[in-house]
Amino acid sequence: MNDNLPGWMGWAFLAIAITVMALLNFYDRSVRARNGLANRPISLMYTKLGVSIVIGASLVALLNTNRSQSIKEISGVPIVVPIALTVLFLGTLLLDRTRFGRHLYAVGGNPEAARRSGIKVVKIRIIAFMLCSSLAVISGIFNASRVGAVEATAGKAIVLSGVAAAVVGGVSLFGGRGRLIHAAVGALVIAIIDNGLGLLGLPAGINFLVTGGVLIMAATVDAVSRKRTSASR
Amino acid sequence: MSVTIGSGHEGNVREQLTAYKARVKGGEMGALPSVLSLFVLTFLFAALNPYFLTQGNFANLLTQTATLMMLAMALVFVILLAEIDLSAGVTSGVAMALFIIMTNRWEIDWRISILAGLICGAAYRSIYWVLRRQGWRSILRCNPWPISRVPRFTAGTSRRWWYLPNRSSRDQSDYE
Repeated sequence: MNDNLPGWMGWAFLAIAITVMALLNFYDRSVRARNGLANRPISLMYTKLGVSIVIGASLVALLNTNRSQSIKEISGVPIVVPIALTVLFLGTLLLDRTRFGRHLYAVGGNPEAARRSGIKVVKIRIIAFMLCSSLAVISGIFNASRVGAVEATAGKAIVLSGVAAAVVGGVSLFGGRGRLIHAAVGALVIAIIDNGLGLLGLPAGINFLVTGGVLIMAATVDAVSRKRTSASR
Repeated sequence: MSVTIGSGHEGNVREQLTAYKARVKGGEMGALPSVLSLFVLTFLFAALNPYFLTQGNFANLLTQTATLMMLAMALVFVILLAEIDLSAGVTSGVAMALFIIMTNRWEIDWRISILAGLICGAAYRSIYWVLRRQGWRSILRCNPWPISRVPRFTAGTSRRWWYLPNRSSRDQSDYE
């Protein structure tokens, strides 16, 4: 877990990720074109791909340089990154492209409407909760293999940070809106606050204060923007 | 000027950008605030502490984030339903303990340990499924000895509080 991928493997993973992304995009476009539907301008797609290539390549190049403080060399992409990205990809696929994903969004948006249109709401709920615990198990295994030890109170404090991360990323607490990538970005924000404030050497209480403030702001933005959306419709 | 975009796929680049701006203004911001705050925080901490932008700290940050990121992604499935799973953290704690004990104390292969953790998490959640399907009252419906000994004072209606009606939760509500 604390290991790193060898340099070439980082590049290989980046290449695979970009290829899959491009292929999925082209597949969607061809399906839409075949059925006579409008497509987004192709230049937008190339811009997106280009930006991801630049960002991904600079990250891999940065991580492949030696970052050790001592004689032993440490370099390479940490092994969690490809694992987390794979889970993110599979989860997004599940939410965006399967019947289950559509039903999940429908139930989140309006359970009564979903029930009346014949969605088995209880089943969707149970599967969602089971998926949630399975992914939580993966997170626990990540943590266990990073720390290498476990204490009796493990995982007690992290739920609220998790909810905070999802809300900060733009997943609506009122349901039916949000994607997995939003939660991932939100988690990065929370972790950067944690990391940066830790480096500044401030007392630990400040950390909770700032994280809590960010969560309040995110929840307010969520509530206000929801009000605005429902007003504009 | 407002551009209406039917499915979100029509129009040239300029019209798409206008539609995106309109959506952001209308409240559908998505991850925009968090991406912006990510940039702001990066510049802020980089200005305050020279060590923040080194590769070492960056790699460290990624490994630190992974746990939280996975948990947040787990919670998305539940938050999308406008619910919250307060037990997710403890589930990850249980998985942590199980994984460490299996690999370190019992010296089982780590792949099997991960599989066991996943099965354990799903199984633990399927208790909820059983209770949902059978009704919470199914625990009491077996009518154990002390409850069956409670005398019934009135004849006629049998739905007293101790005599639990024999119907499943499915009859009461379809979506709760």
